[in-house]
Amino acid sequence: MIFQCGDLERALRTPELMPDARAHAENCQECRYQIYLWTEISRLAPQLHEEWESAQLWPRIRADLAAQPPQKRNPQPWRWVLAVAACVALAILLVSPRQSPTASRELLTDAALADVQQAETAYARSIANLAAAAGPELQGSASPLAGAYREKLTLLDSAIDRLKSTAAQNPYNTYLRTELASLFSEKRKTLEEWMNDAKRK
Amino acid sequence: MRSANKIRLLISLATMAAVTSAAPAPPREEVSRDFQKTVPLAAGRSLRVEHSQGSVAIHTHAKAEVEVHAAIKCSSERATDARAICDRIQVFVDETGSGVSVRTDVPNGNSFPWLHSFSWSVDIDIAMPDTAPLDLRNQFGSVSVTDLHATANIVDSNGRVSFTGGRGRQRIETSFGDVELVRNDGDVTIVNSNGRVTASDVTGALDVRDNFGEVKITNIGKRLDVNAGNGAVTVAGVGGPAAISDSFGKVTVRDAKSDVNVRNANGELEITAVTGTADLRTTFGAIRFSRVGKGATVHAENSQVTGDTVDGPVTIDTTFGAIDLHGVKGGARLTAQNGSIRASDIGGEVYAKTSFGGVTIEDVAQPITVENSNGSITVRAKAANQCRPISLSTTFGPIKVSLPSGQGYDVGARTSFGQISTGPPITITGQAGNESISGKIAGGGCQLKLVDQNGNIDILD
Repeated sequence: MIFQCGDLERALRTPELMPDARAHAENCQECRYQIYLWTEISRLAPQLHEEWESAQLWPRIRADLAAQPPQKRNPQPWRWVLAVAACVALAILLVSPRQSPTASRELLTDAALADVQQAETAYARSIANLAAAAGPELQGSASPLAGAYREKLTLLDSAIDRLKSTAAQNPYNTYLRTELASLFSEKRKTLEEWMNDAKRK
Repeated sequence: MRSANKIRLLISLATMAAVTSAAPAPPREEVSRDFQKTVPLAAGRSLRVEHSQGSVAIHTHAKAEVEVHAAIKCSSERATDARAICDRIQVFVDETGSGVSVRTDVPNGNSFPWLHSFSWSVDIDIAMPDTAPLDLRNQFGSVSVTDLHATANIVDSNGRVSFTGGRGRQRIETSFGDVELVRNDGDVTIVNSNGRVTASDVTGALDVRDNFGEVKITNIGKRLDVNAGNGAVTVAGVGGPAAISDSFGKVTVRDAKSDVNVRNANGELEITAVTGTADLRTTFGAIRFSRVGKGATVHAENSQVTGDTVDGPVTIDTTFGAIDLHGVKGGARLTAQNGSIRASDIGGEVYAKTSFGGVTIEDVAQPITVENSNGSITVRAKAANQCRPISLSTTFGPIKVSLPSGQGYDVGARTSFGQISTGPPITITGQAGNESISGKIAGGGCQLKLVDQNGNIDILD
């Protein structure tokens, strides 16, 4: 089925529909949020369950219901006014020339992040190529210089892993991305230096 | 009525759908929140700061209180989510038994699992009493501390640390970030890894440990201890003894008012204007020293050594590199293997030993001993008031010695497969042949011993 947001409520009551709902939520933040809330409530609710003796509860409820006059369901035109107003407001909000949020120095925009990630991928590819070229000689050499390069590369790899894991949790943070780029650059420079040194020898 | 409502609803929904489908993808929303809190900090109490993923700027004031200002910025796909993230970030400013604690609690990957992407940054600015000690920890963010007149212990990682105008004993540690320290009245310890260290105008002692980063030190009042690796070390102006170790980087020291001790490997040394002694070691890198007050000792391997203007004795040993020494008031003991030796204007006794390289000694008025093999020897002795013996030996190279006029020598010279010639008149007292001669020059009195194999010997005026 082609799952839509309107199907979510039904899916939450029908376990067979949940795989479709989850697939849809992958690209729909609103549904993702609703599923998260539902899951959390389902998880927490059993822990909150309490029972107590209250023999008079049902008789009291029944008596109260019997005493209440039947409710009139009056049409409420203000609801429609509100709905239309909300639609108009929403439409205005969506079609009005919208200023893109001012990008701060501290946090990246989507476009900037895409550029950065592209650059990181390119860096990683270039580094992988360099490492493949430099690797055998670097790993095989017993010279103190090779030892120093190996130590530095190990240090850089460990720092890159640590920073990557932090940046994964805070991906738009400019500082983390800049640091990561600088470490990639440092690693590439180190490999290039080693290759130049090795060539000179 | 019902159908009218339906029509209205339909029109509304159609409008919404059309508008929504025409609209571009929602841009990223960013929300900011400011946090401010001021708490008292009594004299003698300290400030502790723990932060992460943002900068920390500390400056001081004369008030007995800590003012904390945090600029929190969050972004997500929706403003409400960004706001929720900003609300989740907590800055705790607590009064504790030891003083004031400032701590930030930031989200982690599990904080908002329904969000595909969210980000934040928290920059903290703190004004604190200038006399309160500081204990600061940060990671993934820079730190700056200005005008703190008390002890500080700063530990950062992946962040630059800048410390200016301090007083007291300071300890600064970071990694993958530069450290810049300007002016501190007191001792300082700096530990870094993969980052530059720059320190200037420290009245006390300075200890620096750094690996894979350049170290630049200027104007240190007392002792300097640098333990570096894989980066250049440059020092200008040290009041106390300086001990520097490094590898794979050039070490430069100038204007040291006491002793200088440098241990390097695979890197050059350049040492200038040292009031005390210079003890210099390296491998695979040239050594240059100049204007050393109380003598220099150099141990090197595969290194060329050049030195001048030393007001004391000089000892140099190296391999596979030449020695060039000029203007020494004390004696010189020079050993090279596979390298030439040149020494001139030496005030004390000269001993030179090498192989596979020529030896030239000039303007020396003290005893001269040269032991060479497979290389020439050229000596020009200066006039002296007393007897200054000269002993030169080599193989497969000529010996040329110029003697000061009027100086008396007892000559003993012999060679093989070569000739002996004398410029100054010589009175033969023993053997006299092409390959061996014994006699006196200017009445004798001082030993002149010349031994060669496969080379000529020339005794010149």
